[in-house]
Amino acid sequence: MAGSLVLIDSETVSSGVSSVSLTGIDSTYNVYQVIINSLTADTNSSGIEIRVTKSGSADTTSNYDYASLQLKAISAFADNSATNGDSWDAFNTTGTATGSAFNLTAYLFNFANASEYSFVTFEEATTDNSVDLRGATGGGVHTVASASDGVSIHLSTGGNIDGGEFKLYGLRK
Amino acid sequence: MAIKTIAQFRTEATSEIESEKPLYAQVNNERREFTKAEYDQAIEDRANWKLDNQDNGYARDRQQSYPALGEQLDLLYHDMTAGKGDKTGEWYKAVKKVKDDNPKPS
Repeated sequence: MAGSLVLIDSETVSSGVSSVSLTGIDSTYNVYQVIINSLTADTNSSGIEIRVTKSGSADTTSNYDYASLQLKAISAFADNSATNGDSWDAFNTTGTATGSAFNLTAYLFNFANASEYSFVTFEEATTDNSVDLRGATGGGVHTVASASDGVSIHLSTGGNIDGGEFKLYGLRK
Repeated sequence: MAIKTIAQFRTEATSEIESEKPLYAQVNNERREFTKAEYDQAIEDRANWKLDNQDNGYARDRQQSYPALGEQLDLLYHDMTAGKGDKTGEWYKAVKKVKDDNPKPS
């Protein structure tokens, strides 16, 4: 259906930052979509990590559960899961080589509902340090029954996100 | 290499983050410097990343280096056929090489 995605927030990174926040989630929509297009990193083996935001600030408490299947073009697939982590560390790593980039589509559920946990499902396609393809599919939950108003993205290495387009959409009811 | 504690990694991370200042966050299309709380969290994140790499990095590296399951089964089949279902077989050598190339820290 045309016009079903409503842009809520858009961030374009063109100079290094350690984190990017997409905010503006409220009860207007039941489901929100996050798109990350061509995130590039300044450090090799940088895993992408996502946290929910509460009132605009990343929630760093250890309440993140996730499970994903990592799909590797050049080696065996692998499971990746954890409970009570301090972020959704469910994604593949990227690096600094030309052609290395991270791309993600994620759907966010129950974020604005203060009496429910916040859920995420995601699909990802990434090229790593060696520009080998890695995919991933999975889901996660933030096991705190309070409203979340967005997501914050950072790198596991603490390195900089050097580029990329980050968008948050609401799915029209 | 000696096993380090989270406290030791935290000290290293503090020094590294200090030398990397300023760090920035992008929020609402603005690039602003980290707050004190964000710097503190960056240190904690860096320390945890180092600890995870120390404790689990070798296992991840091994996982990526093992031959595909089908390939391993084929190696085993040929080893068994040749009467080499022991340490002289190709399967054992292949797995041992991966483990030796990615040693568990101690």
